[in-house]
Amino acid sequence: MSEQTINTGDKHLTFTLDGELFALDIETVREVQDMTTVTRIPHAPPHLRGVVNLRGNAVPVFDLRRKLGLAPAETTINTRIMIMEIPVGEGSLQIGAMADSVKEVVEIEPQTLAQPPRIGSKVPAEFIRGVIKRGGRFIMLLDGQRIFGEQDAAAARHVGGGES
Amino acid sequence: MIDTGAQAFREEAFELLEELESALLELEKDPGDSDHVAKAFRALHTIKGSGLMFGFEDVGNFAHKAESLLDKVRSGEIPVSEELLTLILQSKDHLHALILSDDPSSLAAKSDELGEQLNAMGGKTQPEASPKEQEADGEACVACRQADAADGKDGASPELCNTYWIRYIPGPRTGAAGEVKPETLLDEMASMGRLTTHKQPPQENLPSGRYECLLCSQVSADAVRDVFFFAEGDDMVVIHRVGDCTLRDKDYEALLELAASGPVEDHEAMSKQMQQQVQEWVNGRHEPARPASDKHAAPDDEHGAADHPARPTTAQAPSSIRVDSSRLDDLVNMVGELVIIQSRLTQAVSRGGDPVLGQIAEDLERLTDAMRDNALAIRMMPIGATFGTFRRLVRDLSTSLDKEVDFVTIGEDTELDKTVIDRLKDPLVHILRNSIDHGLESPEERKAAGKPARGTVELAAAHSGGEVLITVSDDGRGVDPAKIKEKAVQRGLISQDADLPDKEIYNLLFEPGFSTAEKVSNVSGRGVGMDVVKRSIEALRGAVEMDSTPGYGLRLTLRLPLTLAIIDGLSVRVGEESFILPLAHVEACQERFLNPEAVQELEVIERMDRLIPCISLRKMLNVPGGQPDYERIVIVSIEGTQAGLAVDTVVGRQQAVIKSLEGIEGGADWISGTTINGDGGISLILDVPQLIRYASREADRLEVMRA
Repeated sequence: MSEQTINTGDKHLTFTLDGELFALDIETVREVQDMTTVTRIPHAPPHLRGVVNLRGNAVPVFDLRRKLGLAPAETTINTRIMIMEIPVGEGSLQIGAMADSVKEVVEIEPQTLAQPPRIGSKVPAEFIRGVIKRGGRFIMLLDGQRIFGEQDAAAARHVGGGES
Repeated sequence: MIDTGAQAFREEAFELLEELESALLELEKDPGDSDHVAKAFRALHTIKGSGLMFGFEDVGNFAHKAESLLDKVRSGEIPVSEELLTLILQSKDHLHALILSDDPSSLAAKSDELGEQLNAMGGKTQPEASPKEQEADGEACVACRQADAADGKDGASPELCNTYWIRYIPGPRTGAAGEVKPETLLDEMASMGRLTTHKQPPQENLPSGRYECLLCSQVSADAVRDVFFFAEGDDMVVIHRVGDCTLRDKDYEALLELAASGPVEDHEAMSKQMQQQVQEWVNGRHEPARPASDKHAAPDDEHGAADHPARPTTAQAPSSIRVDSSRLDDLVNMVGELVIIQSRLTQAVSRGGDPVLGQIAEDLERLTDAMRDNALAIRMMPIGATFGTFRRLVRDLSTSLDKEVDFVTIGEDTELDKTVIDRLKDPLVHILRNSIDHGLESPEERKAAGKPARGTVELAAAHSGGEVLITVSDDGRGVDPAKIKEKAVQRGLISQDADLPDKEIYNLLFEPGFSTAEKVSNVSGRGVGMDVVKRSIEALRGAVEMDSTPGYGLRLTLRLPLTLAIIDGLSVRVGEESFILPLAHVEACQERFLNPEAVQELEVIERMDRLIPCISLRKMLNVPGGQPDYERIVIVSIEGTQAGLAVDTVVGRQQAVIKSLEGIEGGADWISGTTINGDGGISLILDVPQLIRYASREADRLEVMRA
């Protein structure tokens, strides 16, 4: 399932979380939005910050720090929402993921990726597709579908009631 | 182009199949009703015609067989019987499959099998005419004799065919891609009997040429005219009966030559001339042995049916148009956006205070309101459209389960949003299955219990406030609360000493994996069921309730919102957050002063000398911020059950364009959707019916604990 997204392009969007550099395949990121008012959903799990208005649609926004098990932090002027498209069944679901800051678009060739470290990483290994060193810093390549895919697919079925 | 034609055909055909089915089911109730036979026949005929035209040949050919059988029923040769209806219903299902299938050839075996059954029932031994058969001089033609043989009349009193002269001049558009091809029409005529065609090549004033045809067939002039049902408006079609079928091959040729020699305009005179010619031939050959046939030979013109070109399509001005439902969705979405922008404008104007702008904003608001109502009304459909399928379901189930069932439907014209209706179908199918399989007893059991052998299942729809109530009730054995409780204890869903009111016990049936059926049939009882029903109804922002009297039946009530698109709401504020309450549930507002320290999530307040439960939304929804010592309480109600919702302030009325909450795992309790505010923020729409039910349940429990 992840094979397909790798060869669609080697371009990746880098961003920071808790001082570390991460990257997501540019194909899964639709756009980047400035932080705006997030409407809280009562009784929602802590990593779900709420919903934002994206051109007339209510898009759920996840706190990527919490989702990856990193320490939560206050939002700053640099905080951005990356709007991602997650395939769900035959359609797709738009969700927002909060990053401390968004950096740049880089080319990462899949064959240059190293295996993620088994131990010592703050982020669960199953969410990491690989690690690469750029300009003296490690970039951790995240698997967007792993992070949001299955869980949210199930949730969408539950809440959306099979809207298609 | 071709594809849109095929798509249009599919859509139309599905509708026609529904019509066919409902006509057949009506026929079952009242076998003598010729109107329903005619209706079924027409539906099949149109499917056949348009099927052939759009290249669905398998569909056309198969429909033809079923149509022939129905034609016999129509003419009274075959009585309406249970087997006949079953066979045609099966044929209907098969047609549905054929139309849907990408590879109809894979269904050919089934087509042949059903086709043979259809032919057998029609008493036809030889389905295809053998055209090479020797034509007897001056006798009834092959088609006649064959049809007579099929009727078992053995040629004793042959009913003669008619010979029709058809002049067909296609308009300039005919034959273009996606339009009717003249050849298709000729083929269809050829399937009715013996067709001789003379085609004139295109000429200056007739760009598509002109066809002179003679058709010898048993069908009526109207049936021939039906062939040209789909002809374009600028086509010219003339159909005249010119004689019976006692003509020879060379007569046909002579007649066609005569027809082709005449002017295009004057077909009346030509028709007379041809009739005369035929009479001369017939009289010259042998004395008219059958005076009756002379009478038949009288031109159809007597009743003026044949003297105008067939243009049935223009006879009735269309009173409705067919629109792709996704376009309607787009329209409703756009109206939704408009509503949001309008409320932004109103907000901006109220800040600015310019009276001229205020007037404009007000006018716009009125217009937007009207537009919203109109757009939503377009999507409203009477629920009765789906009842037809249920009738079929009940029929099939009662046959396969050997139960006698009267299916009663009430409130077919209750209107509901199309999306709701579409998504309602599956749950209702499930519920009906349950009712018939588990609810209703066998006729013997029913008699033993002192009930009539025929069970009754009732499906009713009605409006109630801002909701639609759909009830499915049966007079079967019902469910025993004690039995459910026993099972629930067994499965560890509740504890042995739990003291639950009956209503809550019934609710247990909606838990996943819960089934009280002792035996599993192929129809229901696998325990995947009521929970799915509940989930799909809740996804429609609705609710399900069950009520039963053991031994006397069971009733399921589905409550559904009228629309999934836009509602009138009351905007309220708690702390920094704003929520929308559907206005349909709001009854009144009152206030209270209180001690911020002592606030409970659920309290009891006084309302018109009665005590009703009151929920603190701040506590219930964990809204951050300090508790003020003065609160507003919005009184909401559903079906007479009241509850209060404590909020900080009531902001006012707001049109809420509902956006579903997709991608939210859990946490969506008490929330039925979201809406965009005038200022671009998002408000949550509260699920008021759920809140009220929760409040009254909890209040009951508190009372029990206190007592």
